[in-house]
Amino acid sequence: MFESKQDIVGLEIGTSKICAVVGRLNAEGALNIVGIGQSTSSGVRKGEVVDLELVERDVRLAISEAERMSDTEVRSVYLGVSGNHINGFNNRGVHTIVSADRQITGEDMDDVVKNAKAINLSADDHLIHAIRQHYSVDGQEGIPNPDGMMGTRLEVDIHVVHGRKNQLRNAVNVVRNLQLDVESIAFNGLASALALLSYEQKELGTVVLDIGAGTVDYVVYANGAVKHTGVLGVGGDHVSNDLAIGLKMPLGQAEKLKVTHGSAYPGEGDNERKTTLPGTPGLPPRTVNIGKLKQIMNLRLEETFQIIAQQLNDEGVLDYLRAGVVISGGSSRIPRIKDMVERIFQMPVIKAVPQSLGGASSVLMQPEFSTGIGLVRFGAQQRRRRGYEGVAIGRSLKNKILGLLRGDSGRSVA
Amino acid sequence: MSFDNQENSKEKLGAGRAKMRVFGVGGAGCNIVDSLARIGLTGVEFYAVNTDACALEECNVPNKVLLASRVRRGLGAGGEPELGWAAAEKDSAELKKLFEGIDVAVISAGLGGGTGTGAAPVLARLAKESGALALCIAVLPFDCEGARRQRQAIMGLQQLKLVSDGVICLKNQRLVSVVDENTTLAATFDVSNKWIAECAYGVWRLLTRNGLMNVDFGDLYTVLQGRNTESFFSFAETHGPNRAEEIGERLLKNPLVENGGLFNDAEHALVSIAGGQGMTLLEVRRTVESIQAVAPNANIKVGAAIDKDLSDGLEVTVIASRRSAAPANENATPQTQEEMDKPDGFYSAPESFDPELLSRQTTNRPRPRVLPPPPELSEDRLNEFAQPKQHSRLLGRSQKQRTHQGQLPLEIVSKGRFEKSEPTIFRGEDLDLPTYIRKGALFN
Ligand SMILES: Nc1ncnc2c1ncn2[C@@H]1O[C@H](COP(=O)(O)OP(=O)(O)OP(=O)(O)O)[C@@H](O)[C@H]1O
Ligand SMILES: Nc1nc2c(ncn2[C@@H]2O[C@H](COP(=O)(O)OP(=O)(O)O)[C@@H](O)[C@H]2O)c(=O)[nH]1
Ligand SMILES: [Mg+2]
Ligand SMILES: [Mg+2]
Repeated sequence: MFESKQDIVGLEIGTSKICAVVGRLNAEGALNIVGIGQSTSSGVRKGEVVDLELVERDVRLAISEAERMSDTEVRSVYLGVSGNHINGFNNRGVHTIVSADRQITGEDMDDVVKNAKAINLSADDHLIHAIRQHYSVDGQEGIPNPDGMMGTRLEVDIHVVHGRKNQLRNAVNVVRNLQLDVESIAFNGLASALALLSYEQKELGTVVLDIGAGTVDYVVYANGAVKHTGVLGVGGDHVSNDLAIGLKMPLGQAEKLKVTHGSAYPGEGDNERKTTLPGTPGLPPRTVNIGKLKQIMNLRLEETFQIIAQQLNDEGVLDYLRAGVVISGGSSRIPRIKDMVERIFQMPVIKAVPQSLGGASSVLMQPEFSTGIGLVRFGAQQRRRRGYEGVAIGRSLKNKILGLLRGDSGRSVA
Repeated sequence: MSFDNQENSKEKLGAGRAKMRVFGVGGAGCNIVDSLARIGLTGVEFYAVNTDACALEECNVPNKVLLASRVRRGLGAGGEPELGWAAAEKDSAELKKLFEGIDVAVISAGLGGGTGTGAAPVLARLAKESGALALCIAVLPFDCEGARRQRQAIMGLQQLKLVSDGVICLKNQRLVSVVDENTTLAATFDVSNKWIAECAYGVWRLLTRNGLMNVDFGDLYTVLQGRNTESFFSFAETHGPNRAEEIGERLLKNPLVENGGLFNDAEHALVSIAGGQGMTLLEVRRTVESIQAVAPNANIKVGAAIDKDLSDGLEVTVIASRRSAAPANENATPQTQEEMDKPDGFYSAPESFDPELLSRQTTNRPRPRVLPPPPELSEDRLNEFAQPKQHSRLLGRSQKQRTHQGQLPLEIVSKGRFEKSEPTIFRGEDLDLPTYIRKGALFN
């Protein structure tokens, strides 16, 4: 039986599919994707687990398939989370340099970060990420590493991602019920960004929209750091549901029509075009007007991107997006969606698939896999960090998850 | 299948008296058994299994099983694999009886729909639990049926591979080149079903007839095992003195093997040869050589038998497999809509993953350590799941609300899929309600 401590497994419990990706670090420390398992997801709505039993069944299928393919035994996973309950905000920590020589030390840097992390989240909330952005020394902003600099006042900006405990606990419990450890949880949007963005895109400023079945997860990177994150609980399911109601057909049929005939914009002559759906027992054959179909989709998608653009504008981050928008996730396959996002954001838009990792064949380069592959990257980063920060952090990560299960307040951060 | 089973199979089948039942699950599956039943295999019993009572009615197979008849009332699975799955789970106790005392269960299904995709893996699992060998014949949808269906089909295929001993797969899409554009769908399916029936017939002959050279289920397993293998088959029939010279060409001409192209990188091939009384060893050798010539890398197993009924005829079935190849352009990032939306991209995804990884495996790859245990669902949940979706009930309730509470028209709309989840509210608007309704868009 092959089992390697080096294996890093990312698990996305998505609204439409569950996806487990196995990555392996080789002797040189390079990351290879060696397996992937998928299953249809039936107990998730808008990114949140709503039926533990069903999700457990589906996760089991995805994991055992990933195990089979990668010939490994999965013991633990990096679990992706999403849902409307997840929010991000920026916070600043301040620390006064007290040493006589006023030289900033590593200890000062730790202290200021600790201060920044002292956040009063509500008792129902759990802190998922606290990501360091930049330091400032005596009012001079944008310093990546102040170690050794002289100053009296050290400040740090961090980006905090938090979510509701109950929802997070549901996802963690599903995994633990399968006798798997959760090494860490990560926001799906952040994972996707890790899989999709290049160094330049992060530096220049880019927003990633992972448009899935239940949510749009978004992450803004600027000047190399995470600037903003958020979730809008609207996705491909809403498009299909609007169609099901508007065209009076079962959801399954609407979903199929969306994929076969859908588009973000109606085309010329679509109002005269029709498609015939074969009858099923109990339902006679019927025709559907293509123009109407696309019109319904258009209204939903336009609204969705407008809301996101508005939220980014409210946060004041639109001006930072010098490299534009990157869209991914299954719903980024909708024809002409790129045109729509370009029009609404007035920026260049790229449809992206996860960057290939060593060993990964191009079959992994599907927009649906951004999150799963990103979770493996996230895991690898955590491992590397843990590697030189020692075992203690590893333990504290685990404690954090255990705390989440016990219902401790989520204030401790790794 | 575990190796004990494989040993068993040799014993069971060695005697040439293997007890075999053929099951068709879902619409396509039932049509396939129908075609097979028409050929008629001595000693084999046929079963049609469906959630759709009408389709079952039309099927010309002696034994019929209507799944979840009480809760679904014969209405079909509406293209939802979960429903097919739940329906089969619900009746699993009765279904299991069908596998008692059976050596080989052949389960055929069209994947991508609801019943076949959801229920076939359940049947395969039950067959194995009863100690039978489960061999599946799966049909994959046409490209034009859409990415969603393809994806459903792929997931179904993966589950089938996980629970059964071997899957023979036919892509409906391969038929496109054979039938002309104006052929009706029904006629196209007919062609496909006949071919599959021929293939199943070849397998049956291979396993049951003793002959000049014997092969067994273990050999078949060697060809079909492995998650990343893609199987394909071909068959041909010739007559007369030149039958052995002609057969090779015929086998290759078959569009199911892309005019022989697929054989090129075949790793394993199983050749079943049957001829009338006069068949000579030389003819068998000729046949095998013609396959060797086009499949230079294949490990070829040959079974040959005399069939008196064939007189001057020669019938050959080849089942082969190759490791799915990764698409050629590793580094090209698909950026255009056309590329990304191609259902084929979906199709090849899980199938052709990571050829490198598997190369160090021997042919007798052990079964996975973790077989997914049967999903457990309470009776209530199964009932709930298998219940026909009642759209009218939702409407009925909303109408009542209108008259009783005089709510705004906005609120009476069914939220469909989001009925039970916490609403997504943005600036006071419930985004789960269709946008076109909230925006007051009117359609003709
Ligand atoms: N060709 C297509 N046209 C339109 N929509 C598509 C197409 N292909 C996939 N989709 C949609 O993509 C969605 C699935 O995407 P994805 O796998 O990224 O979601 P998920 O990870 O399951 O969900 P989430 O991340 O929101 O929980 C579905 O809503 C599906 O309808
Ligand atoms: N070869 C073949 N394929 C079929 C036939 N009927 C349906 N299919 C294919 O099988 C898939 C599943 O359809 P079907 O079996 O009707 O669905 P189910 O009854 O819900 O399982 C479809 O997507 C078709 O591609 C048939 O008679 N022959
Ligand atoms: Mg997703
Ligand atoms: Mg079917």
